[in-house]
Amino acid sequence: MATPSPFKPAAVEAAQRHLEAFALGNSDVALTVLTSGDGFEIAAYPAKGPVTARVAAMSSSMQALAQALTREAGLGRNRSLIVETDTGSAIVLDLDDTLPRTSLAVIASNRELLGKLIWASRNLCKQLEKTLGQ
Amino acid sequence: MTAPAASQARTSRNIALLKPARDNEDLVEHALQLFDSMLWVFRGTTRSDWTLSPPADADVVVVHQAEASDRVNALRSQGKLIVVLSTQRAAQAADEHTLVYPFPATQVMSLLEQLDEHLDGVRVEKAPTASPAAIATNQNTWSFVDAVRTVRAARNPGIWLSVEDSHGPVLWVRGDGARYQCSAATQAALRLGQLSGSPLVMERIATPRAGLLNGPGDELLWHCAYHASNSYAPWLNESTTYRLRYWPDLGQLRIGDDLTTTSQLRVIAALDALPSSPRMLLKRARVAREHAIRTLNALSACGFIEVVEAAAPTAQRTQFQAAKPQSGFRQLFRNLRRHLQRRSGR
Amino acid sequence: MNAAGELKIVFTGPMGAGKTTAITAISDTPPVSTEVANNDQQAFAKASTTVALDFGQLALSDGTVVRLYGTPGQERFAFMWEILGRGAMGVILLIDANSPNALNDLEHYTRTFRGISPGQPFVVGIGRLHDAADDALAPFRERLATHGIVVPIFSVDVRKHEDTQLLIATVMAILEARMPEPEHGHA
Ligand SMILES: Nc1nc2c(ncn2[C@@H]2O[C@H](COP(=O)(O)OP(=O)(O)OP(=O)(O)O)[C@@H](O)[C@H]2O)c(=O)[nH]1
Ligand SMILES: [Mg+2]
Repeated sequence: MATPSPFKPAAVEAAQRHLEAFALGNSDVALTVLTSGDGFEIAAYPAKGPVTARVAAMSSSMQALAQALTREAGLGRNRSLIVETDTGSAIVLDLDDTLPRTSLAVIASNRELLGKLIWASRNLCKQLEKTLGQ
Repeated sequence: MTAPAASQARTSRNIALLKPARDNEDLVEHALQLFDSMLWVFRGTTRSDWTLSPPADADVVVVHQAEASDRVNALRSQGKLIVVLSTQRAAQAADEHTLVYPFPATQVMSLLEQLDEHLDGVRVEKAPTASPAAIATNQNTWSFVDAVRTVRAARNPGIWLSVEDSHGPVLWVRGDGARYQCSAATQAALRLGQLSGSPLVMERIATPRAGLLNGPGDELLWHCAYHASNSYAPWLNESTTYRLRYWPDLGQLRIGDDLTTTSQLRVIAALDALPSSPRMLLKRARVAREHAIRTLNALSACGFIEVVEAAAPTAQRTQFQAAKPQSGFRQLFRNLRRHLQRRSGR
Repeated sequence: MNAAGELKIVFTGPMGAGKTTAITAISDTPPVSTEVANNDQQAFAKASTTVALDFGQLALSDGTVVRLYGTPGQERFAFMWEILGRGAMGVILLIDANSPNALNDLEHYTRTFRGISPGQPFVVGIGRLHDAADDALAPFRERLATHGIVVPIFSVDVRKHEDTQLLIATVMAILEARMPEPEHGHA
């Protein structure tokens, strides 16, 4: 499937490097995927593969459902979505001000403290927003 | 027939079909088309010639029952006779000048004659005209359906056949039966089963008239066969087992009447679930006998069903997981149908 | 059987076939939508696309609610198909006849959904059909017939309420035809 790329190749490359640095700096992070609102994988670490493509699609579905829920509940736009399991967690964060709308999915193992992971992921989002905004 | 003597010049009458300003109902359109198509079919059989004209020049104006009363009164005060088309099925004809859709051809014919007399200001002794009787009869219906089936079997797309009633061509069928052409009005009559009543004759011609609607052959055959009779088509056997080969395209063939559509769906679904003889099907499909028979007639004429030669294996039904409504499925379906019909404004 | 479960009908089919349109046309309440901007204009040129589900409902007079779900059309969301398809009273597959992939779409979705729940009533609506062809539905019928599958295939325009209604009515008729004992009374 040819992935339509809404962003410039240079921006995507820079985003890819941010994801890599993030994963290397946070040892419990298993997977990070930057995803367009309609579920296309833009960048991923480890590099693009069948798993990252599926995570991209699933995270955009969940993000859209969360959005539908917060809209229904009158809570406004949702910023993030957290899924905790016995062995790990998945976080989906909305990036601000990217056109088209983009989100970041982070999959990590349990050893990571969730609060720290969210904080680190938010910082990564800020870097990505800057990179993609250029 | 009370044909005018040759020396007697035929009177010409003008008639106008007034489209409602606020025309948001398909049925109104159909009713007007049906009336129009009948005028066409009656050409040459009525005492006078009826020609379509603008309301200003008309002797008779046909209006829908929802037409604004001041407009109708204005027309009346100009001395025009008014015919009212009603699309409320339950409605009784308010008077003899009201036609409740779907009105039979015979009624329109006698109304025209009556208006004609009125315009003459003479009371002619009423003699039953031959034409309405001919139009009302069904005895030639299967022969027409048979003729179309024969054309389909002949598979000769290189020629066209015109279908004529006693007054001229009304419909054109391609030599393989896969296409037909006619006016919108004739198509409306076809769908309502009001075309096939008169004796129809086929003749080979070069090409159809220009500017006609073009439809698939299944549509022609389906409607003719459906409306042909409320007893079995001659080629159907009540105790032979038939199975559904494939579903007809009800997206195209349905006439937009919920009762007919529901009945047709039930008959087809019942046959799809289990090959059956017509006799068994009548018990299983849970529709009025007439609807079941008509649907079977149409299905068989178009070749959607076929005879099962060997003893039918009992249908293998794979179970699937789905929730069950508290009140049972049948109650659910009744409610759901009512709900959807109300929503669609019927 | 799950007596307390939801009564649902699922609309599926490829991108742009009209799943969201159909549910919007027939739902009593404004549907819950998960539409987002569509970045793949090549796949289908339209502004938005469904990424999780469409959800509408028919609230009947006796309090029963029939839920209508639409799946996302794009293949990468296929994981949603099974989630939504399982347990449905029926599946309605919409196909865009204008698409060069129409026949493959038909086969692919039919096999997928018959795989999820083989006995489920399955109805196909073909949109944007130009009936200039003698029997425009024949290729669709024949494609399924090669796999021994006979299901209702209707030409529809799901922008029209009555066409979507026909598809739902067909699901009902198929379920009715399978019911063993007639209950009392006629509809
Ligand atoms: N001309 C025409 N347009 C149609 C017909 N059916 C649907 N459409 C249009 O096609 C488009 C279908 O869009 P959607 O309803 O979003 O399609 P969808 O199946 O939900 O697509 P995804 O959610 O992206 O998978 C709408 O713009 C409809 O108005 C039809 O029969 N004829
Ligand atoms: Mg959609």
